[in-house]
Amino acid sequence: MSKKKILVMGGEAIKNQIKGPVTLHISERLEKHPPPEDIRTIPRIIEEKCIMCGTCVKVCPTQCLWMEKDDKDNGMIWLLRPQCMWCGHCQTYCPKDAIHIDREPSLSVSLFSFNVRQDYEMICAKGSFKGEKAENKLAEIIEEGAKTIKEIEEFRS
Amino acid sequence: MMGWLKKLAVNCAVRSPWIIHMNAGGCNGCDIEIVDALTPRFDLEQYGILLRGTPRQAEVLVITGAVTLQVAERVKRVYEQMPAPKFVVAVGNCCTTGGVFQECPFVLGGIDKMLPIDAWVYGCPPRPENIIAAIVALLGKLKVDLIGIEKKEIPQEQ
Repeated sequence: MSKKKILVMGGEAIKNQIKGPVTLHISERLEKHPPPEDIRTIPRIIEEKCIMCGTCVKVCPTQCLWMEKDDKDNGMIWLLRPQCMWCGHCQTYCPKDAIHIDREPSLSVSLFSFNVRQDYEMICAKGSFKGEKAENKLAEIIEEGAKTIKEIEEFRS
Repeated sequence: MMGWLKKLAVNCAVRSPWIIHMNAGGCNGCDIEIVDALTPRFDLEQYGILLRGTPRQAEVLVITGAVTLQVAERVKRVYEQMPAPKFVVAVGNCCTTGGVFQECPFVLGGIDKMLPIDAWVYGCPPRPENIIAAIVALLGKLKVDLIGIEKKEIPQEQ
């Protein structure tokens, strides 16, 4: 009984190895059947309109937005991509209409990763926070993510 | 000889990964999207992927939902019942980092506190194309990894 099962399973595996794929690949499928036009993905900020009020950070239900700013209107905002659930609250509550939800269909397909804790993205940087300072802060956050990964591995074992 | 056999085995394993699907305290939104990815329109079976009923026949464990403390032990038991080359895919925002439930005291913030994870899929819920793209990318990565291990072992023996 078990020998017969092994033969059947091995035969199917070898058959799948020899014959190529029958149906269309996912990349070819996207060109012929694109996603609908009203699809939502992660938010984007127009830097000229943003006044760094912090409304989007308070309103976000999953706390995926982080902000750091000085006394004036200069600052920077990051997004933790695995936590954003594309709800659009930040867009509706923004007083200056500076946030819009990205509608690129190709982006919605590529939203997966092999490393969750370090998947940050710089959305907005204004004034003195532009350039090197923003990149350094992003690198710091990613290092903190590496620390949390180590802590989680210790916790698991 | 062994290298040729191993390459054949890796190719066979990558072309027919059988999955088991487990809900760890979610709202069934991601489950419906996974079932949608198995239907003929978004054909997951073109990659040899079949949905199995028991963990003893499966190689890939697909988890959805925020992992509650009650179900965490059961998830670990299902993971231990799977045969040796086993991979885990976390689908949805709740399963990756906790999502909306991350401040709840009865929920683990992310399944990676429990098991080693190979791929994460974002979205609330994720689109079926997103799930398919993630699984295809995972299979490509696995092929490189499994054959690469064999390449690394040869110079150490010499």
